[in-house]
Amino acid sequence: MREVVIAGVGLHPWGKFPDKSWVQMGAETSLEAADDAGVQWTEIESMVCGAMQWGGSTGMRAGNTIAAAIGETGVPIQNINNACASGGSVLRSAWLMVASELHDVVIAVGADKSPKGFLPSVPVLADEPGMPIDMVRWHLGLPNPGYWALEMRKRMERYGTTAEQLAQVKVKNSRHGALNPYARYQREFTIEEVLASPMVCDPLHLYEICGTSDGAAAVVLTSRDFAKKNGLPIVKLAACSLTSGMFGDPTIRIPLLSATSDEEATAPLLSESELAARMAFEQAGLGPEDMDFVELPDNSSWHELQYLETMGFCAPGEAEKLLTEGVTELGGGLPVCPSGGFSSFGEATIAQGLLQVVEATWQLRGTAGSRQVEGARIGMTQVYGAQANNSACILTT
Amino acid sequence: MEDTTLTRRGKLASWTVVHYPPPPPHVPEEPFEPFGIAEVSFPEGIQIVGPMTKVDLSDLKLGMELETVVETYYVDHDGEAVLGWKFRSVEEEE
Repeated sequence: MREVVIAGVGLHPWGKFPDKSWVQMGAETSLEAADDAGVQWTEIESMVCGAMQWGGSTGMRAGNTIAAAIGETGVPIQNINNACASGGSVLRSAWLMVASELHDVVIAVGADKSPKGFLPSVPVLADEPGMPIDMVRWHLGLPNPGYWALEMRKRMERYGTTAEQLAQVKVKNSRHGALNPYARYQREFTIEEVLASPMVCDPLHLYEICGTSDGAAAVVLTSRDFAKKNGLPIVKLAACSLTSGMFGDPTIRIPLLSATSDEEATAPLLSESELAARMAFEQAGLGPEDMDFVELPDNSSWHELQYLETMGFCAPGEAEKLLTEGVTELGGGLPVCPSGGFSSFGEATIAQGLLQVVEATWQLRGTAGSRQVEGARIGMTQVYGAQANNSACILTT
Repeated sequence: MEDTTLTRRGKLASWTVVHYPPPPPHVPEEPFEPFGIAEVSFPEGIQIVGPMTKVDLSDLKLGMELETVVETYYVDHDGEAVLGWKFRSVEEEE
């Protein structure tokens, strides 16, 4: 395997864009990434794109749809859906193509528009025998934040996490998001505001759950030789793992309704994420202590606390301490979600894994402006998706 | 694969209250009332989520015993009751 370099990145601002199609967002962002890498669209040898489930048939073949809008070039196009981990998954495939020397220039793209409110089910065949589990869970009435709320309740019981500590996650990330011109919510929230926001799924308030947004992100990967030839700043994609869940994991996964009990668990909570982080560290030959910052999937404030432990940044029950001591804030020892995270962007499921990689690239180039992590040389991104998909990346200068 | 019949009773592992009506195919009560969801740990080594028959938050305590019952989730457009599993506290029954 040869070294792979992030040669160019593109990011669409995130928010709600009722007058602009996701195809246009994806096309603009892809061309922005190509331009950033100093390559023409016709020089791109392969495209990997998130399959966008909310976009119907053409959404499931989003890569072909976006390529047709820009101009078809006959290159292989892969469309991948690994739920919210799709962005990391397309990057993993693109990374493999360059690492294996199959291609020199590959683009990974995600463009997504999400329905408002709770992310709903996608229609299934009416005559399929039995009832698919995603239908059962909606009949029963369990939205995504309900799953996260069940885990947060356990955490409060186990570690005594207070409502104020939980609210502090949003406060911290909103301070970062306030510094990011691409974020949907660019203002600081207070603890009082978070606690006064409507309860959605007890104990999670509205402001402790990420919104659903429209967004797009694209990353161009090349070999080091190609990047050097073009005189580009070198940011290396030192690791890009992709994992799935393990038997014996007690996590009740969206959209399932059961799991091994906590008492009988033989694998860690969020086993796919624990594994992905561990594999990324092994691949890069680095450890948690080497990271200058991390972009993790703060789909809810519970996720941020849990992931600090799952990824190996602290012992179980210590995440609240890192938060309240300011370690995870910009200026602290391990800034978490310097971009502002999903709490400031909202989730655009297909694109959010790539959003993290774009931010990490800017941080390592030193071009992150007022949210720059001082002296950042090594960064990590990690994204997880429904039904136990996970991808983790380590970027180095 | 083999089917296994679970014990009817398990312990409350976690709970939440859903405060907004979920999207279709969920059929919310009219008018909508927030409803409780329990995660129950069974002796067979599995934990399962399901609606609670009633929510009196002050009565809920993690580790308390719950019983599985079959109840109506909602009545569909043809007037047919759609049944599913729910959890109720053992005290509620007695």
